[in-house]
Amino acid sequence: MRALSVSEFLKGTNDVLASVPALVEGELSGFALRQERWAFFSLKDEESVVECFMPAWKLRHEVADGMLVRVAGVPQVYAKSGRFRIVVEAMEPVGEGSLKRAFELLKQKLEREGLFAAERKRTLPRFPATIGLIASRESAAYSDFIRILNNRWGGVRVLVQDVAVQGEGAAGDICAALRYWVSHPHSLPLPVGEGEKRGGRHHVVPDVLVLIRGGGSLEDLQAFNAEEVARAIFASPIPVVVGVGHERDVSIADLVADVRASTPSNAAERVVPDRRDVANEVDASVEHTVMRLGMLVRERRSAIDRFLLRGGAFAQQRRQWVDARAVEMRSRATALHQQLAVRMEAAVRTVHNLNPTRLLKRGYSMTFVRGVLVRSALTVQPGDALETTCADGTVSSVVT
Amino acid sequence: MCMVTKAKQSFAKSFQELEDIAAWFEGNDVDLEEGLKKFERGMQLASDLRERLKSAEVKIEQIRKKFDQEQ
Repeated sequence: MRALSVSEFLKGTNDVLASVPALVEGELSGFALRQERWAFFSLKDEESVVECFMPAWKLRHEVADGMLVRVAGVPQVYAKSGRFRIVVEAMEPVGEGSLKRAFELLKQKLEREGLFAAERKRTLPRFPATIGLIASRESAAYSDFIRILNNRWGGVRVLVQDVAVQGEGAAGDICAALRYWVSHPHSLPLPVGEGEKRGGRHHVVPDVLVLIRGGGSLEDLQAFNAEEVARAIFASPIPVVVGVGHERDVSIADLVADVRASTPSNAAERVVPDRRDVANEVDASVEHTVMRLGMLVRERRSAIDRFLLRGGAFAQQRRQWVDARAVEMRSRATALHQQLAVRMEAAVRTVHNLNPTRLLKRGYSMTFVRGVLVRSALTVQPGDALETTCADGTVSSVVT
Repeated sequence: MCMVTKAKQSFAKSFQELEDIAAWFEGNDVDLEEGLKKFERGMQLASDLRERLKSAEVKIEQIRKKFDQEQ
């Protein structure tokens, strides 16, 4: 048997090793990044240690010495040093303790970068017309969200992106869904007056994005604690609401979100108002308007009364003539009072049956003299021709 | 006093307009004639808003899952 050169021997050995894919769990130790490009570390247990090497860009989690991690890769002897190592393709924390540690490390890092800053959080529109929902369509979270949405509000359009919210690919799915709206303004040929109309089609971009899933263990919620998801939420041009699991679970996604909902149901509550609350507000606006209009009419009346009082003092001097004018004026003022009262009454009735088309038929009329609206009895003189417009026509009359 | 029905504007816009009308009546120098016009418009908006509050289930549409394959 011919002796091999060192290079030949290692190449042959590495060829054999390449067919033995490594999936190894151990405690991380001596973790170091070189030139921001390469990660060197060891995995160990009570008795043994193995060296590892990994390109830094493949790191998906924040890790630190002491954490229990699982690596997948290929065993290899590095020709230049003759040292055995695992060339790692993927590394993830294992077990509740390590996951918590990784979570804390990522949280600290993103916090330093300002991803959770309160001042960057955007407010949601009060009445969204379109909601982008990112969820697993089969989940209870999805049906809870839609049910609460329907209870509270109506007529809103929900554009659903069905994604995996757990397991491999979940983080990538969620990121793709979040980024979708940046590059693909959704266009729908719909006649509703929502979205911006361009060239006969309505380009609908959601007013708000909602990312939800039910509760679970820290391991189940990995996608919501992934750095790439956090960054995709941060980069979204549309405000994002995140509602994960039960109230006690806080995820990184929650912290980056513009609005953090405690559960998927709570996300629905945060996104749309309750129709009963809005109905009350509409009522309050109407009542306020009616009250102010009533005050306006009363103010107008007392202005006339004050004028007549002054007229009465003047009457001491030119009794007869002024008396006659005063009587005349008072009767005109009374007519105006009545006219205003009729209008007010009609207005108030309208509030009760709220049918605006009937409003004109409720006794509104407007009187013009020489084409100018009569706002005061004092602007008309005997002999003036009056034009009174009612709902169904015009009445002409002359002031006597 | 015309009561032309406008093309349907969004709920948000109508609601805002109603609130603006209520706020307008807070002003000191309010003209009665204009007040009546605003009042009528307000009643029309309120009736329209209430009608819409009663209406319509949520409309659900699915976006294709393969986001990256879509053009």
